[in-house]
Amino acid sequence: MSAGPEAIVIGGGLLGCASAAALAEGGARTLLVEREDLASGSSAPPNPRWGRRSSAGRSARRTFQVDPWQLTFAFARLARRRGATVRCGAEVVGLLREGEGILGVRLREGNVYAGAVVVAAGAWTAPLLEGAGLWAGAA
Amino acid sequence: MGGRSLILSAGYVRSRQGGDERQVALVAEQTADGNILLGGTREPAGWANRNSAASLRELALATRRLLPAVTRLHAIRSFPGLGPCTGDGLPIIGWWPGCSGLVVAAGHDGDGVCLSARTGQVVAETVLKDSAPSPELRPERLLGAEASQVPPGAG
Repeated sequence: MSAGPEAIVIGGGLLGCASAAALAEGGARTLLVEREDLASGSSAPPNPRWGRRSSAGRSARRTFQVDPWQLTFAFARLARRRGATVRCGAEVVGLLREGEGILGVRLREGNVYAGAVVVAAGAWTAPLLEGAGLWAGAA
Repeated sequence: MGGRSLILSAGYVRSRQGGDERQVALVAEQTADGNILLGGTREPAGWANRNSAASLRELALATRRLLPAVTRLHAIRSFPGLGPCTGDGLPIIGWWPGCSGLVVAAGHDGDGVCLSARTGQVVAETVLKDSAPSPELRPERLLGAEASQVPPGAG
């Protein structure tokens, strides 16, 4: 029997991948779900010629510039190396809420439960919270 | 290749403090390819992922004023991006108040790259050690809620 995740991170951008890497490093069984591809939202490369061919670290050492896209992938690799599961194409259609608690996430193919759900969905954070009745839009 | 430098107008620092109004503040930097990257504009655009003509024009004027030599170059492209922000210039990190099991890490605006590693650490400390990030980062401040207790975390 394989145990479910202890933490689910929603969002495969910079913040989601960095969170998954840190959670996995801390020993949590971590699942990251991203509805499209890693770094496809706000962490997408604005300039496709930015830092190509170099890793995030190498690029930063030489130029003090960091390519958000490469940095996202570096965090995702780190998360995987530390045992996290990173799933792309897995869209969260809703948070599983029971009373005053969030129990997990509803994916298209079924529910996944965890002790903690981390929403790192960038601009799509508010709609997710709204869907769970936790946020009524900007004041 | 030579040394590279960043030119940052004081207005850019101010624009990082948040706010809802449209802001144009010059930042100029050379990429590894030798292109010059000019920024930055911020404007409340909702989900519209595009630069307004007014912002691009203002940016061009600011560039001409401060870096006249750049105006001899050809503009290759402009690109927009969504910068999810909270309105007070700080991200939201922490347990969602009144709801156990939910942590939010979002609203970093243009600072996601710089703050990503530390945000990951804070998220992990929040979840694994049930610690609370500093009050100015917690979501409570945006909900107008009283300083609520930290809900129990994972496990």
